Amino acid sequence: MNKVIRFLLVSFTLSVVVFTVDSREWPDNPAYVQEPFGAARGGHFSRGLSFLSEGQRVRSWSGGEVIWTSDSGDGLLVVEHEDGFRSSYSGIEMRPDLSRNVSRGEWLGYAGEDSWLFEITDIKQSRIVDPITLLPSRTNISSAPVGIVELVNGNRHLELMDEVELPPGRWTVVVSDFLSSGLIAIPVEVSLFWVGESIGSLRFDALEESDNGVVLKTPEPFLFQHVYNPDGQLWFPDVLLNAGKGTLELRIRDEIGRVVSRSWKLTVR
Amino acid sequence: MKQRGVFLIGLILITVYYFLFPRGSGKELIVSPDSLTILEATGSTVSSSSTTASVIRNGNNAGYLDSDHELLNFFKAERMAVDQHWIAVSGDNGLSLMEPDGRLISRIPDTGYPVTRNGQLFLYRNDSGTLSKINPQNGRRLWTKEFISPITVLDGIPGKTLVGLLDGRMELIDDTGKALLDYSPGGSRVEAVYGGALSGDGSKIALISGLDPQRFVLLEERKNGYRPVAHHDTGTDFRRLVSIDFIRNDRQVLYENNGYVNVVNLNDYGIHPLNLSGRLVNVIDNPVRDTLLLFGKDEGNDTMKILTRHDITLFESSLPSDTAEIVRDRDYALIVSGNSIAVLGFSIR
Repeated sequence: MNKVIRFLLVSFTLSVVVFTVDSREWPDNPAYVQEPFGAARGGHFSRGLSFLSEGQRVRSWSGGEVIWTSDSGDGLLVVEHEDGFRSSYSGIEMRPDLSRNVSRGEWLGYAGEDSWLFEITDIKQSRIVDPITLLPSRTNISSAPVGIVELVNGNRHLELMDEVELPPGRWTVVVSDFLSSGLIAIPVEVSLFWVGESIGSLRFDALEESDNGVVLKTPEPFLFQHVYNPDGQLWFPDVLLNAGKGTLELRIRDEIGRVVSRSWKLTVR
Repeated sequence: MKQRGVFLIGLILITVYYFLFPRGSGKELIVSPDSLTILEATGSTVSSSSTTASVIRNGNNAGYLDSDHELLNFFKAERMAVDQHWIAVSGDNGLSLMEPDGRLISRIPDTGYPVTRNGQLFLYRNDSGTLSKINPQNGRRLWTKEFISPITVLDGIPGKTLVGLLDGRMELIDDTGKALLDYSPGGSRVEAVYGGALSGDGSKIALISGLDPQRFVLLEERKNGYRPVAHHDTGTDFRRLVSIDFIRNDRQVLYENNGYVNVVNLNDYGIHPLNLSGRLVNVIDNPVRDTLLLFGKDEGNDTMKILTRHDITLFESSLPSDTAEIVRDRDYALIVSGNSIAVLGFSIR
């Protein structure tokens, strides 16, 4: 009897998952992704997925009700969905005969000038969420790049090779060129380990409003300047490296859960 | 007997005169065409001594006019905000704040959409939800705020800025960036702010909020802060910005409805409709004494209407379908259509 109940529960859960994934789709060609959520964009976090624009049709992510249209500025269209999300399409030229209720995959307009931005807001939690976590998984995508990692102390810059020797002290670890575009997997978590211990982790889950501005929930709330340096590179400031030998490891988890890592042997003396 | 006959004839003549002959009805509104100016680059630069009387804008074009409505200076830019005393143009290198003659006041490194409201300058970046208030005299940033939700409504007076948001909240911010009020009208199935205005003295806030139902909400400043003092369902279902404004020295609020506009009296909160087809674009208080000018757009059938203080139509005229705005300059209305500015003079005789 228990087995029957368990079977029914598993079947129900699976059907809900399948239905949820089925009820959403990519609003544009996944290969057109230019910039992921949380990337540094002119001193601010990118609030969604930026797509390359070639005048292609933009489609509704899921079924819902159009609650805002604006032709001024970049052109903004917002759809409210029944599951507590709002999807917004910024930088599109709206379809003139757009109806109030749209179905999943219905075309909403044409992609505007150079790029357009797709955002998803969780209205119950008043936060903008990473769309990649709510879109059907992409297949045949390459692993996320590890990027370039540098150690910075004042004017000293050390690009990390396999083995590095450096003096002890407080260093800033700078990671650049790790964000992907096109059909390269989007990183959703970047972690740094020193001698096996975590010294920092950034998860690109959601953006929230705080008294000091918009913060990235990582899950600790971080302002933009805590996540990116003035040049727009990801940084882990103030990492204490004491004399001795150890391994510095960078781990990147991508949109489909794969983890890529790279490590460097450091001799601190 | 003879005297009675004369009296009766006199009475009949007076009665006939009273009913048949036109009587002087007091003063009348005279609308007369004044001039036509072409809005395009003239190639000549204005002398710094020329005084600008008015500024007009149509899409990417803006022009400063002198008191004879001659074009003094012309600007062309995709992102700009114009005021009688300054112009802000946004480009790849940031925001250039200039005098009407093009002399640079200041350059601000930030990019975005410059917006002006009642002489206040704002810079909005919709990709980051960042709104800054800038002092147009020196380019100094007064405050910057980041919003998670898209901004739908922006109004401002010196010292106060009203921000309406698509998540259903509105914020009132002072010139130090401090939030004086964070308010959600609520009461609708879909929460969003679709229209909003601040009264001239900043003591009242009028909002159009929500869907199903869409509502009008009026807040008034009391000793213990702003309090809602009136609200009603508007019967509308707009999913875009709704025009709303305080008129007649803040004694009434006027907002767009389905094919007409509603006027709310602020003494008794009574509502009465005014006929105006299409979308309300412009409201000008007192183009001439005790009148109100409305400009509506209705799919190629644009209309200008002038009403008395009792809302009786004094004047109504169709306008070209590419009319962008109507600007008041003293006793003139400047009608901006395409690249031409038609000037109408108003007088009461």
